[in-house]
Amino acid sequence: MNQKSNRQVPDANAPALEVQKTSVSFGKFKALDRIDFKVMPGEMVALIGASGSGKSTLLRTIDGLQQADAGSGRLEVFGRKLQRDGRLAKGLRYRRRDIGFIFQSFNLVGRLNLFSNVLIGCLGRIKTWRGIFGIFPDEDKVRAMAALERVGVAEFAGRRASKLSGGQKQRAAIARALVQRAKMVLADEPIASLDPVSARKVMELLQELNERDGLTVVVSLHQVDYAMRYCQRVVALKAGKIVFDGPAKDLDRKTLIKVYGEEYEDAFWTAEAAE
Amino acid sequence: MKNRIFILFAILFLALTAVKAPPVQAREKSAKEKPLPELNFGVLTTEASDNLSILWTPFLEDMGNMTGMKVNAYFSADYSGLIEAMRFGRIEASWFSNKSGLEAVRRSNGEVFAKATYPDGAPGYYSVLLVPTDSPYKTLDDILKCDKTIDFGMGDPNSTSGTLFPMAYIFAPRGIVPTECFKNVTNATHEANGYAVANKLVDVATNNTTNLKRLGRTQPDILSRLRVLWKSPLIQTDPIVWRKDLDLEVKEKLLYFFMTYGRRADSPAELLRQRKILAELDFGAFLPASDAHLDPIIRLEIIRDMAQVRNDFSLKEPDREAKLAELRQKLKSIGASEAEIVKAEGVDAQARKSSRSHAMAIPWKRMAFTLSIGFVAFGLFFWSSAARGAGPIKPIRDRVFDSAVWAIFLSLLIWAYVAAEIYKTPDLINNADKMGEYAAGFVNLDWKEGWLYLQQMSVTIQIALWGTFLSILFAIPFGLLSSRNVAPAPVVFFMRRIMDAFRSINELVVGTMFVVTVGLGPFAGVMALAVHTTGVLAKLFSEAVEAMDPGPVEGVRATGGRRIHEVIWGVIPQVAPLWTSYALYRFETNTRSATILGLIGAGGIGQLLFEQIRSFQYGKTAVILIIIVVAVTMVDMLSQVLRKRLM
Repeated sequence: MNQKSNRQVPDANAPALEVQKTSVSFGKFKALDRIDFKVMPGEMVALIGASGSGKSTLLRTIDGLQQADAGSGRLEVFGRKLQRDGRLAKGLRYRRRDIGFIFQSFNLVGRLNLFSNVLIGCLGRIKTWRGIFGIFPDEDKVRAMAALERVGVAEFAGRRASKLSGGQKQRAAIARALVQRAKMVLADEPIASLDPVSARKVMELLQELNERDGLTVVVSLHQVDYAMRYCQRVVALKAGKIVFDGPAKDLDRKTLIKVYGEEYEDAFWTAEAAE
Repeated sequence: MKNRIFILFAILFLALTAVKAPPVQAREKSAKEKPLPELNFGVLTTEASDNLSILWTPFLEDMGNMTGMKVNAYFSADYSGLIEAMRFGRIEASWFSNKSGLEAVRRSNGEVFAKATYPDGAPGYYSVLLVPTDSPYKTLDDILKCDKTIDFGMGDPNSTSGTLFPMAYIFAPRGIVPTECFKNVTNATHEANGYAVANKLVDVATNNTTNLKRLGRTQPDILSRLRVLWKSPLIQTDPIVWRKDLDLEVKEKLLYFFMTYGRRADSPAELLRQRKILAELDFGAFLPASDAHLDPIIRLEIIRDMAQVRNDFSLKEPDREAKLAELRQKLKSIGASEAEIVKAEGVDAQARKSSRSHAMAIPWKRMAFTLSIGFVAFGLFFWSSAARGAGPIKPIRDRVFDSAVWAIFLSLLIWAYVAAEIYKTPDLINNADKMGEYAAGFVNLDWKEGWLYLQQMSVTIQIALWGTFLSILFAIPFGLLSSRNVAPAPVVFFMRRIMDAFRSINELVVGTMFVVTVGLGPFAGVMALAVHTTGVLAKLFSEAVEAMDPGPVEGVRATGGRRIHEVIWGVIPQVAPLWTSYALYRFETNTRSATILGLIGAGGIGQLLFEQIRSFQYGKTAVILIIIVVAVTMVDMLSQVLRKRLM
C-alpha cells in the first residue's frame, strides 16, 4: 500500500504495542492463550477470527479494560508498561490517554450532545477539577468542533447522541479519539452494527488517520474482505491463539479454512472476494 | 449598572435599619438592660382541651409580657419528646402530666414549682375503667377472670390515668400481668379508647374524668354509650415544671407570673380577661408546689414494684426479701405511714396464691398445622407443574424450586393470619353501620380556621421540600457507594447496611431523636424525613446505577479520565432521569409523611390534625383532611407532569 514516510513516531525504536505471553481466562474458558503480538508505529493491523476467538478480549486487555490472568506476561504501549503479571500498572490512565478506543456499540453518553461527548476525550489531559465541573479549556472546544467537522458530523454537534444513527455515532466516537490526541487507535468491531455505506465511511476514516496522521491502528473485523482492503497486515485468532500473522495478500483459502472452518465464506461481505 | 445596584443596596440597607432600630427612648432603656432573655415553654397536648395551640397562645403572650421575656411555645403530643427536650435544654419550663412530670424531674433535671387547679376548684381528677352501657361486666372481678376473652384498651405508657393508676390499683396488687390476662391489650390515647369502648371495639378501656367531661361537651351521644366500671382514688392536678438550673432571676419572674395570674391585676376587667383565658384552658388559678407534689405517684410506683417483685417467680427467696426491704425503705423515705406499707404488703400476700407459669407458650399446634399445609401445597404445586402432552419438559430442579417458593409463600400467609387478625374481616361488614355513624361526624364541615390550616399545610410542604432536598444531597454519594458496579464490594456492603438502618427506622422515631439536638419544631421533622428518605433514595439510586449500560462508562474510562470523571460523565447522565423521577416520587411521599410528623410536635398541618381528632372536632378534622388531600394531590400531579417530561 502507499505508505507515507513522514510519520510522527514517538519513539522510533520501541514498538507501538507489545504483548508477551498474555493469557486471559473467564472461568475455565481461555479467551487468550499466551499471546505474543507486536505492532510497529504507523502500522494498520486487522484482527480477524470467528466469534469467541479472542479479538475483543485482546483489544480490551491492551487498553487495560480487561485484566490479564495473574502472573501472565507483560503488555507495553510505546515502551511504557500497562500490565505485567496480570496486574494493571500504576498511572494506567496516563497510558490510556495515548490510546483511542472505538467500541462496537459506540459507548457514547446518549443523553449528552455530540459536542460534549467529543469533549469527554480531553478528560485525561485537563485538570481534574475542570473535568468534574465540565469547564473545558477553549482550545479543546475548538479542537472538538474541528474533529466533528473532520469526521463530517459537525452539523449535529448540538444533538443528543441517542438521537443519531449508528454511522453518525461511530464517527463521533472517532472524533472523540481525535480530541484525545491518541497516538494509537484500537477499534473493536467498529463496523459490525453499521450499514455498508456507513461501514465504508468509518473504515476510510480509520485509514485516513493511519495514513495522514500517522496513527497506529489495530482494528478487529468480522468481514475478511474489509480487512484485506483496508489493512496491510492481518492477524487471525482462533480459540485464543494466533494462527496467522502476515501481509493481507498472503491470506489464502487454506488459511481462511483454518481460521473459520469450512463455512469460511460466511465471513465475507462479497463471497467472490475470497478467491 | 453598578451604580444602580449600589443604590438598590443602599435603599435596602436603610429600610432594614429603619425596621430594626427601636425608637430612641426604647433604645436608651434597653441599653441599660440585658438583651431580652428567651424562655422556651413546653405544652403537652395529649390530655388537653380543643384547639390547644390556639387556646394557649394568649396565656403564653401574657407570660411574655408580664415576665419581660420572649416566650417561645413548643407543643408536643408525645410525652417522651417533651421530656427529652427538657433534658437537653431545648425547653426551660413546661406543663406536664403527673407521670411525665415525674420523668422530667428524674431524667431532665426538672423541678415542680407550681400546680394547676380546676376552674371549679376541684383538687384533681380520677382514672376510670370504661365499658359499654350494656356490657355484661358489672364489677372489677368480672373483668379480672383472666380467661383471655377480653379485649383491653390501655393508655399511653407514660399516662398517669391511662396506665399508671390502673396498673398500681388494679393489676399490680393482684399480681396480674394484663397481656397474660386479656385476649388483647392495646395502647391508645384516651380519646381513641373512649371511642373504641363506645363502639364495642374493645370490651374495657382506661380513661379519666377530665376527658369524659370534655366528651360530654363535644360528643354527648358517645358519652351516653359509656359506663364507668371503676373509679380510682384522686389524681392530683398537673404540675408545672422548670429546669433546676434555670437562672434565679428568670425563676423569680416565672414564679411571680404563675402565682399572680388570674389573682391580681391592675383592673377588674383585666382580671376577668385573665380568668377567662385560664377557664378556656380548663384551669383555675395556679398553686405553689414542689417535687413533693409527685410523691403520691412515686408511692404508686413503689407499691406496683413491690407487687411485681412478690409475684416474680424467677426470683430466689433471699433476693426477693432484699429487694422488698429496699422498696419498703424507699416507701418510708417519702413519708408513707406504717399502715400504708402493711396494706401494700397485705394485698401482695393475697395475690401470691395465684401461681401461674410465666414461660412463653410456643404454639406447636399452629406451627405443625402451617408446616403440614406447606407440605401439601408443595406436593400439589409439584404435581401440577409436571409436563403433560406436547411441549418442553421443565427440569425437575426448576419444578422443585418453583413449588417450594409458592409453598413457602402460602405457609407464610397462613402463619401471619392470626397475628394480623385477618379473622376479624367479617367485623368490617357487621360493623359497617358504626363506620357510617363515625363518618357522619365529618359531614359538618367547619371552615372557621381554614386560613390557619392552609398556612400550616404550606409549612408541611416546606418541611417535605427541605427534607427531600437534603436527602437527595446525601443519597447521591451514598447511592453511588452502594452500587456494585461503581464501588468496591466491602464499601457497598457497609453502605447498604447503613442505608438499611436509615430506611427501616420510622420517621417518627428519627424525629424524636432529633428533638434532642434541634428541639421540637419543623426542623426536627425535616431531619427525620431527610434521614429516612436518604435510606430509601440511596437504595433506589443504586438500583438505577446497577441497571445502567456499562458502555458509556467504559467510553469515558478509555479516554484516560479518572474514576470521578467516569461517574460524572458516564454514570450520572445515564441515571439522571430515573433519579429525578425517584426524587420527585419521594417528595410526594414525604408530603404525606410530613403530616404524620405533627405527632411529635414537628409542626405543620399534622399537629393541628391530631389535636382536632383528640378533641373529637370531626368537622374541623374533615376540613383539615380535605386540605391535605387536595394539597397532596396537587403535589402528585405537579411532580407527575415533571416526571413525564423527563422520561
